[in-house]
Amino acid sequence: MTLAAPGRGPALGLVAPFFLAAPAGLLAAGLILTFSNGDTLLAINAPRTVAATHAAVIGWLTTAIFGAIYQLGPAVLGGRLASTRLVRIHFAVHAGAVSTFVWAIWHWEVTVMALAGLGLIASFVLFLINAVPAVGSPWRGSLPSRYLAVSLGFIVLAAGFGMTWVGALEHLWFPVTMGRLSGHAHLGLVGWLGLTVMGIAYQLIPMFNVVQRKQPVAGGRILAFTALATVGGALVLMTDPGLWTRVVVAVVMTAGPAAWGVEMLRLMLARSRRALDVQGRATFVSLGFLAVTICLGLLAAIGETASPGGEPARILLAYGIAGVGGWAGVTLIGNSYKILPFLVWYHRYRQFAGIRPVPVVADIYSEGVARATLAVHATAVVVAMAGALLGELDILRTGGALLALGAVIHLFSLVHIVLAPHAPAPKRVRPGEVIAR
Amino acid sequence: MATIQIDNRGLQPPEPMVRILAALGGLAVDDEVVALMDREPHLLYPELERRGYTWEFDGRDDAYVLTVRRSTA
Repeated sequence: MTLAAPGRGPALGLVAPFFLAAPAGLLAAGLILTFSNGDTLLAINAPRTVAATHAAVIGWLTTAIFGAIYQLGPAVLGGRLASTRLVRIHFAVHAGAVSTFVWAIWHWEVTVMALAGLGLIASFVLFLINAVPAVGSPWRGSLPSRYLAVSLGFIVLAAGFGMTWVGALEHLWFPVTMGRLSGHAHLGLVGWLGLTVMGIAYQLIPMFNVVQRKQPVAGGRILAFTALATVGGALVLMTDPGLWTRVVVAVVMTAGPAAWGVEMLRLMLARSRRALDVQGRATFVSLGFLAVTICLGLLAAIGETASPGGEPARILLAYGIAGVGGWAGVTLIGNSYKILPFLVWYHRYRQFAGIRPVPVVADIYSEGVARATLAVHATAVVVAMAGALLGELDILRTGGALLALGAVIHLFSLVHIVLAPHAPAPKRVRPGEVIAR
Repeated sequence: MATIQIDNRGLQPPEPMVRILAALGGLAVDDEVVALMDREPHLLYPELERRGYTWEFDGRDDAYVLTVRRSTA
């Protein structure tokens, strides 16, 4: 028998602001795409495209991941937060830095971009001070813990190269080529976002879909391979390599997420809870988007000859939308309807459990609204991808508007989860059933 | 001494926690609740501590078992 140490989660008021602020980043990304111009389909490094990407990645997904790590680390992974006061300061610094950074990219104000970039570096440093002791070591511990610990290294690499590229833009140290942008982007998207999504899935998919009969078999090897492939691949991409080197890099970099996808599919098919709620549906949809992302990534590596209309920017844009909005985004939306209601339950109703009737998680969020949010968002991603691939600006803009609509529904539903009073659902009585004697 | 056995396998969080806390309501000093679990219930432990119970978790085999008793201290 083992005597376990008690888990300690942070206060709801500490982590909820991250979840509630995150959809604003998706809203900004959607609105930027709604007002995109012809440049968006011609160059992947057009200011509006770069602004939308950063609004989605560091405004939306990263903000929510910060909240998730602050919660999961101490409550589930056995870590601790160094300072709860720093968490509050971090939230304010991050919110201010991201909004200024995205505005500066949109208007291509390089000096403001550099200053806001320093704010982002401060945000990441504040995050790491708490996140490193919260998630533990990359060499031991549970699979989610190891994935998250490794992903923290990638946020350092992605931010470090990103700031260097901003410095190069401002001071003309060297040209910021497409290869250098691509290397930075993949450190952030595969290293930081990808490994975080993969690690958290190892915790939440078995938990919420009740997987008992199967265990992950390759999680550690997938982590090691993906991390090494991402570092190596990103460094090679920064040298602006030729066609065949790009294809080899793409195959190597997609192998880890592909193997993880197969592992998650295996777990989901072995689940005991057959009825799919929003989190289960989101898992399947996001795995579909992962497959699309991998295919588009391989085609994007081939470049002009594999791109519709001979415009590499279009397939690169579709690849980014599929990966960020589809794979990572759908995962986040599905899990947020489990994580946040559970947090509300834990902090508000746990102390009454067993003493008086309390609501369960299903009573705290609306499954119908959650599914509607997921449907609007997934449709938006497909429409925006189609607009990019077809080279149709109006379809791309429609996808952007749908992304913004999904963000608004998501935001209001999350606010309702946190602020509204909840009651246990009345027990359903079948006709003829005796309920009292 | 009585043992209340609960099978919490196949339930989504927080239902296992709710069922264990409900079962503890009528527990006498020497009684215990033995619950079969899918995984270790980290978030239950602070609540057990607050309500004055001790616990042991056996996670060595396929079937995870949590045993809860009223604290004698």
